[in-house]
Amino acid sequence: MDRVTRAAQQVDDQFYRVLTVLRAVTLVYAVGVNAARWRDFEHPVAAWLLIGVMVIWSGVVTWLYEPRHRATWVFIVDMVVTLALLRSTQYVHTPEMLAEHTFTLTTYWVTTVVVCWAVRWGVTGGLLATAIVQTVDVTMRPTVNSSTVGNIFLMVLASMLVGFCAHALRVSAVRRVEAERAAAMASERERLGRAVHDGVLQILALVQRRGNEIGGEAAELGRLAGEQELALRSLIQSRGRDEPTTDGQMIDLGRALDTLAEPRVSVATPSRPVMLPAEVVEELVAAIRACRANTTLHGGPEPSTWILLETVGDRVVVSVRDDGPGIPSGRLEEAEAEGRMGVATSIKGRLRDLGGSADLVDTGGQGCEWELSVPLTRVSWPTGAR
Amino acid sequence: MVRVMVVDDHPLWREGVARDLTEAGLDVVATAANGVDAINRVLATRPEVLLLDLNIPAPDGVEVTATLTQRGLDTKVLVLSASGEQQDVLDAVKAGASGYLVKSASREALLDAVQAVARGESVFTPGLAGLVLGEYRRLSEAPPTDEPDAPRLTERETEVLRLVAKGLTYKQIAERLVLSHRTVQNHVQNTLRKLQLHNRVELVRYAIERGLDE
Repeated sequence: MDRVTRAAQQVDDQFYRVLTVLRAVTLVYAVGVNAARWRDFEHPVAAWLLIGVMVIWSGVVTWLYEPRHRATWVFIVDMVVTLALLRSTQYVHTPEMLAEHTFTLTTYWVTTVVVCWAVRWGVTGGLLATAIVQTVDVTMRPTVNSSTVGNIFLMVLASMLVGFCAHALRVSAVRRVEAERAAAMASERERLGRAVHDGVLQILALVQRRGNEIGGEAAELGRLAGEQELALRSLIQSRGRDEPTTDGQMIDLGRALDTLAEPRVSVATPSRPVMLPAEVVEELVAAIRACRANTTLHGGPEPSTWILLETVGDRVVVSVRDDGPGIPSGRLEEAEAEGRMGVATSIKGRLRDLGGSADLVDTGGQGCEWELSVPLTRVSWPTGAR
Repeated sequence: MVRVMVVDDHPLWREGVARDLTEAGLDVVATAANGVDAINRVLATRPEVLLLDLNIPAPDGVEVTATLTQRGLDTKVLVLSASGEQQDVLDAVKAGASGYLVKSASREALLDAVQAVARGESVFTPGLAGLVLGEYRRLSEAPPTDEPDAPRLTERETEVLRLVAKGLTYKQIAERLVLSHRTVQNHVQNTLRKLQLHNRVELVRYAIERGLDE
């Protein structure tokens, strides 16, 4: 049996398990109703024998509805036995009881087979079973009254509802399996793709290495290979994250930071995605770029930068450090007090708008270090923040 | 002379690295192109350092590392990865690797790393430090039922690891925190050791659970 069929069958199995309970409950009800009125019957002994048959059949048919026996003939035999018991009401009841539309011998117990048909053959099966059962019931009555019509109406409703649900659940189970299969195929494709990329990366790294050693024009080739190697590596790393990286407006900040990696920029992120609203990610990346711009502005010739992404409790913290000359502590506040709006002030402003903060860390002369922090729980962009 | 073995399925790369190591005065005792040969040759030659590519024909680099750790060998594993796939790198380190470098690292960086690993130190790139920090955070946020006895970082260890992730050298960290170089190294190594120990306990527990179920 393939996985699709199995998924549909699992849905059926659950239904039949619930129906076992329904059968038991309606059986107890039927026995109770009949025990309370057996003296009214025209043939009480026959009534008790028939109730015995109903009890035994309930057990047998529960066993027959188990997955390994469940075949079309089980449904037909269950229907025939149920109809026979239902029709025996005509023999057991007095003509007055029949005319008054008191409960049949089987009471609500007959519903179970109708619902079984609805699960098996959908709305059509349920309605067909309802028609058969109600025909057998109504044709033994001398008259038809409102309670007969009410019973028919309820059974039609029940069989349609169950038939529809069973069909819908089977379809969704099948779709789920198909989606899982598609996902498995996609991940296999990605695995193959990674193997190819790995080979390309090896070559690029090799060219870079040997190029540098040989020098001259080869060194230039090596440098170009190194740039491509880094670009491809950050692409693969961000795609390798195992959870979906876009969730409506939520995107993975780690993935966004990976794209900032350059030969002089190192990016450290956790292996889990850090999901934030797209606007927040956009602003954070802009702020990080501003930190770096500040570095190149004040830092002289090309300092190296390190970016670290962490989640600390309910906050996301991004540290941006460089090995440039740094900003002396107090200098920023001074500039701000003098009314000068520098890059630093704009970084702080951006983070404030996000409900977070941007702080310069005192590095004791080890370059410039920003710590950008935003709340992790914020899901929607605050109105009027822009 | 440090005894090294190089495992890589890419012949050009494998020979290039082996040549670099030999020229630098290291003893390349063996090379291998796949996981099976790697394990067998490590057992036969007992190198001090195993330079291991993660992406090799099965068993892959992570499994090779796990196998060697399980056997309790003294060989230190230094992972060299072209793609630097985050989960693979994290898995290799948890399985017992002492460090990780991307293949584009310079020749000097590679030689330094091999020497450091041979001395018993851990080789952390900022990227690896970020991954390890993230892993500890994941463990501390997981419900206790999923991760009983999960290791925790001390405040100092967290501080040191964050600085490594921000690209500071051990020397710079020692200066900033007013610690000795050796202490910084110990802190870094402890973060790895605890994670590896936890991973081993987890594997045993998983094996027992599986064993009881079957």
